[in-house]
Amino acid sequence: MKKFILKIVVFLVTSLLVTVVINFALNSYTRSRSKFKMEKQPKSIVVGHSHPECAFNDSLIQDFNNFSNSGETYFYTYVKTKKIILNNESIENVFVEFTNNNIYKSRDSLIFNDKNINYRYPKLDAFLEKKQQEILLKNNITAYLNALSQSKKKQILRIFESDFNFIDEFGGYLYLKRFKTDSLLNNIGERKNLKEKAINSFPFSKLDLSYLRKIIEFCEKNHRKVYLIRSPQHPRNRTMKNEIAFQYILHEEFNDVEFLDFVNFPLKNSEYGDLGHLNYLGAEKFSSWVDLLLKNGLLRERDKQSFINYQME
Amino acid sequence: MLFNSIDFAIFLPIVFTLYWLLKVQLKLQNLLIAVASYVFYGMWDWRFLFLILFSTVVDYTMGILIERNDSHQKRKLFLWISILVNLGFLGYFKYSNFFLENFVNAFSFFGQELKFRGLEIVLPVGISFYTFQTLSYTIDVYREKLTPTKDFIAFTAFVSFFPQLVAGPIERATHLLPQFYRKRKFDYGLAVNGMRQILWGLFKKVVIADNCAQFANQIFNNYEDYSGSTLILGAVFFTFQIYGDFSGYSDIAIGTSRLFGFDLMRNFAYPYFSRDIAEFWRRWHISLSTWFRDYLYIPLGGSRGGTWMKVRNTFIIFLVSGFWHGANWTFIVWGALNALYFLPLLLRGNNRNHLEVVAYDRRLPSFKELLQIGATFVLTVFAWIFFRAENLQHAFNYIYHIFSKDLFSIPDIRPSYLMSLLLLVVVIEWLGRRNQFAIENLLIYSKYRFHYLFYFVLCYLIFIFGGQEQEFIYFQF
Repeated sequence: MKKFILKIVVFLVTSLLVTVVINFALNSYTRSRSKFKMEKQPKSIVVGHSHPECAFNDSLIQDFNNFSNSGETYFYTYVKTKKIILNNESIENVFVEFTNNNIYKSRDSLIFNDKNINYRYPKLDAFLEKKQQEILLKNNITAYLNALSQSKKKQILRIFESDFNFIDEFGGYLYLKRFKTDSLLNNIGERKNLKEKAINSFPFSKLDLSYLRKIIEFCEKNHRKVYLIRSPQHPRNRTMKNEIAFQYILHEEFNDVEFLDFVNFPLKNSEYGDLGHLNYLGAEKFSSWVDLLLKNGLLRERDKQSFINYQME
Repeated sequence: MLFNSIDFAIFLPIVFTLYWLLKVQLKLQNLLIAVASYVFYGMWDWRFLFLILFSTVVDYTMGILIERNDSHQKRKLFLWISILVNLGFLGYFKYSNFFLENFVNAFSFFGQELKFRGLEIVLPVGISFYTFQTLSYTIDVYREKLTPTKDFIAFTAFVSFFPQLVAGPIERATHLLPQFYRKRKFDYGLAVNGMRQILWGLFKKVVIADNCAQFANQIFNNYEDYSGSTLILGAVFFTFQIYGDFSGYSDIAIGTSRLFGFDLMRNFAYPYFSRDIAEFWRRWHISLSTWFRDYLYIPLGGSRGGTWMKVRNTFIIFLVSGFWHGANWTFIVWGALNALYFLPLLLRGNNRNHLEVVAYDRRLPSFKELLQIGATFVLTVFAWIFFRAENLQHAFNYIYHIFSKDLFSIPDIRPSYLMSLLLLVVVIEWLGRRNQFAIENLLIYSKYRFHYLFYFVLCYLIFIFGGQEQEFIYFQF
């Protein structure tokens, strides 16, 4: 019996060590072969979650690429942005979505919930920093191990298929064919007494916002101009109720970064997919306008927000 | 609790250690098995533990009552009580909606419209397996092949023995129950063999079945969008899925039992290397086929009567076997189709031609054997379409779409990694076909201990393909 247990333990420990070595080897091989170079060389990119994903139709904006992805937290955006910037010298401007729902504490737990880890980790495993791996492991070990195995499968299949192109999996414009705004508005009725929580008791995100800071620092270090932007939202969107807290964070934590606010971009209800997202009609209208805005020299303006507001009128 | 889950990876070493710490006390070991089995089952749905307990108490009591009574009438009565209770549960939980729906449909056929609202019944996991196992006990006691046990704990452990509780092999009481009375000694060779079988079972389940499932589901669910050649590939994927899933489970069950000093019956013997359908059925789900043979086919007269009797009994066995798998006409048609395949062999007396595994004393099969294996495989794949389909309409549409104009085109889906894995499995199974399971002796006599490297490769493949726990198909039966 002792011999049996000893043999099993020795086999398991050895297997574990060899697995770790193989995993490291797979990661470094993936890193060495990975491709992030874009065919068209854009000057500007936008990153973030579903709001910019649905708002910026990059086929309508010159020299512009959308890399946003639904539900993405800054924790993962940071990894993506790093790889894109380092491999595409043409990029001059990085627009990062920063909107009302980005400040909630729930964004932190979103980083390591089962669904998110399983979806994002296998794509980014090889490029995550050691600290990030530790965070995921510490906060959701089961999902981490599941995602780790998925990631290795994906990496092996990539070798099998000689496919190391990651850039196409990093997100893009989402053509939203949805018209739910009117029905949603009918259901929410009149908004009742939306009280702002006291700032000191507001459940702010710490971890995820720290990665927004890292994105900014990385862009600056690599001589890219970074802008925080807020995509259009319906004025009656529920998340807009934290506006005071949002402005507080914006000015306290990110006052060193230029903020371009498009939230009040005039759109009809039929141009929203729902209260937080533009449908394809809204995206077409907004993106064409952004294209003009950029061509008209928005980024050369000193007071960019006034220029935006003026153009919106 | 699933075999391919982290829960089980924690559960098994704990039970194993406690079990062998209690080796001086047989009763305590049996008690531990019973408790562990109830924990194992209760993690799905603790409410159904009462069902198993009730079934255990009824069969235990009926066994004793059958033995105590000399009157033939009374013995028969107690046997029937056991049969009715067990089949009653099975009928209620598994078949009531099917019968109700068909009853309503039959009325509609004659112009009488009835409204059908299905009963909301949750099917207890593995009910068909443990029901048949306990039935074998009372029937064997009635037939005086077995002395009923007076040890309730041993009987409880026998009924609920966790390695094979939810998906077999369906053990005969005459084989498994006496093992609970015997003192078990840890056997190093048996345990190592058990670990090997668990490893191979996990590989077949996690790497083969679950990956085939991904593509089989995609193709079966969207069959209208694919070419005929892709639909054939989908059916082949399902063929490997169901084999990997079910034989994988059986291997894990048998291997786990060996760790505890138990010997379970073999359930699969390389069925896809069969040279005819009769051989296939001697090699596929052996515990169920032999159950039906012993408790249904032979009592019906077996093949002793005339031709008509043989044909009738064969059809009954295959139809009941199909129906055992699920309350759906697709399973019945699957059973009927297999009966049709089997019939010519039976009528020509060729149904026991291939008792030994193919090319037993040779490295490779002859050309004729290869053709026979291929033909049997094609027939099997075709029958699995009915087994996998949601309903008969789905099955017929699927088959209709196969014979479309693009039957001979290149399949739309060609997962090269999966094809390579399937080839690997076929090669390994071929090399190990003379053994109880494919990797039983594979590489173990190699000079440089390559078998450890081989086991590691299997473990690593299980690790990378095991990210998402998938239930075993046969749990639903």
